[in-house]
Amino acid sequence: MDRARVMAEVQEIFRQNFDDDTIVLTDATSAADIEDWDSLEQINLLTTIEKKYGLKFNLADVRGLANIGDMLDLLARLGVE
Amino acid sequence: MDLLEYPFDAAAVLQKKRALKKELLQKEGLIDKKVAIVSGSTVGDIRGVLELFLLHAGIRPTFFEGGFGLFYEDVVFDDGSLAAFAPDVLYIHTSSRNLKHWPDPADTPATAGEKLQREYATYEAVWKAAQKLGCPVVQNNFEAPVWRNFGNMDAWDVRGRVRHTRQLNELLAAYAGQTPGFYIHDFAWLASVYGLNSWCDDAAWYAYKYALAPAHIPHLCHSLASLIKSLFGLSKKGVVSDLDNTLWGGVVGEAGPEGIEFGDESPAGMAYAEFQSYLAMLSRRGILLNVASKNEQAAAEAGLARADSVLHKEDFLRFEAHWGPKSQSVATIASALNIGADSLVFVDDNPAEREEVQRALPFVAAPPIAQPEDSIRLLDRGGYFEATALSADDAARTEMYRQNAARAAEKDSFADYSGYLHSLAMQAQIGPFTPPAPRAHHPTYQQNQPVQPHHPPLHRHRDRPAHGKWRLHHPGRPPYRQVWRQRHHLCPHRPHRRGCARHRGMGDELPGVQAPLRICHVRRAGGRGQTPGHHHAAGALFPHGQKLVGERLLCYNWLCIDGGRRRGPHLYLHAAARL
Repeated sequence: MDRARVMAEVQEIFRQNFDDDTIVLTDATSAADIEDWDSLEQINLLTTIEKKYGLKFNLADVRGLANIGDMLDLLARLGVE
Repeated sequence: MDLLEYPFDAAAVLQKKRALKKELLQKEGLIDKKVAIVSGSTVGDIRGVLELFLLHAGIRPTFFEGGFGLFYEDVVFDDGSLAAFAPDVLYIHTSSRNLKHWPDPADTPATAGEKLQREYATYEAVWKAAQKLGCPVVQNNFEAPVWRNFGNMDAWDVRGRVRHTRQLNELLAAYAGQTPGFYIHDFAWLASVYGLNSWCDDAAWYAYKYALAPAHIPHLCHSLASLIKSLFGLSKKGVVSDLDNTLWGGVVGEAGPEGIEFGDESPAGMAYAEFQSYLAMLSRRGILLNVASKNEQAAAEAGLARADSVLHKEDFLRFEAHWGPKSQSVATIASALNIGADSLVFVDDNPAEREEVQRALPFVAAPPIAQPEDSIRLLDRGGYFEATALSADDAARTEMYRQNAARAAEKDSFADYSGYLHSLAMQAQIGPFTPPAPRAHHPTYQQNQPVQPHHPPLHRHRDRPAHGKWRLHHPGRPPYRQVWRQRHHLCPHRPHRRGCARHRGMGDELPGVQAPLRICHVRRAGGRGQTPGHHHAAGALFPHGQKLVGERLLCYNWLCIDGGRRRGPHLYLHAAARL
């Protein structure tokens, strides 16, 4: 997987969802760094990412996602190119 | 904003909700409404997305959100906060996930029946407690379970879960049928139309306690917003339809009436015929049909004059066939019908025409119809014509508007208004009167007004003699009171307000009135203890409920301007005039 490209795509999703073009994601970015990122928004983000890559996360997948790095690792594991 | 018009992209709505909200709040003329949501599952984004659809419809909601899963406690054991919020509408967001008394394979029919009743009693207790709020109550019904322990037998055995939800939904429907101000939000239908597998996402329930997959939240909210719009009188009232390639295939001006594609001879022809049938059905429940076509008048009429045409020229109130811009036709139709252009839906297969109309009249809805096989779905699922009640008056509405138009034309022929009034030769008798039935909350005159609390039960008046008098002044008629008693008071079919259609009240022929008469003025004259002096000045016409067929007076109406609530004898002014 081209990690930089997926990072850019996920960043675009974040910018759209939070209506904030200044968001810049790194592997370490977590819910603590973005004010509106609460549990509800987490669901939305996951739903959007599922749709974008044609995936369906299972319960185990989304447990223990601590930051963007974990999310990209998960996408790599699920075969996102 | 097309993002919120059916067929919307649910994912885009969820993703862009912040930006959408910012934009929608700029709208002017929003009506403030208080929406209370109590729920058996996570409300979460439902609130925010519902807000978008309501803002889009012109309603700016403020929300009360009950505790998580506490729909029963929030309403039945209200600590005062819900009542203090004084909602304009209460939405009870429950689903089959909240059912507690499922039947079991070990149950006998009797115990399964008891469980069903126990389940129902829980919800009924909530609705009864909600009556004190005096606002409309919207209750989800129950989607079929995704898994079926018995397989197909689940559908018919009393121990089956599928049957359990269906029976429960029947009980809900029965309650709705006899309870004014109580409405079902058809969650079960939504679940089935999007597919249970997709709608009921088990992972979303286990992980977030969402009763439905988050991806479907916009679909839920769109449907709910349509219902709420209807409650506040914001449903659309009329259709302005194109003809060529909308009501039939081809161009009638070129191919002639026999050359257009319509009817059983081709698949597309069948689709057009079915679409016309759908429009005819809308018309029969009071939606006003009109035509805006770029055609010669004669050619346009010829298309509808085909023997197999479902709709005919008489089914349309206004027939605008010319080469001027369609926005102008829509505006002409709106002003001729005396309704806002925002109450009209423009149906045209040509995207350029839709854009031209919406550019000039941004609040006219214009579903993106293109292929005939999709037309019904696009018009139907848009939720434009959501109904929350249906009365005899609705069915007669097209006729009523036709008369209004005729009257307006007549009025124009007089130099001044008083000359017109004189010409009507009005006569009136005034007396105390107890109307036999309060009007339902009716969206037609509910716009921008708070929905009134529940009506007092009607049987309070049912057995009381009609002590008032309400007379049409006309020599040779039978005693009106006797007629009234026959038609309303003694009607065996009126144990409750909704009655049966034949005995519903307004709308039937009044026996004995043969002469050409017309009620030209009906106004509420005052409440309890008020004197006739309080009546409204003669002047404005109040056309609601008038119905003239031929030259016979067919319909009377009393219109409680306060939305139908009735506290005691009112005084009414009724005037009848010779034509």
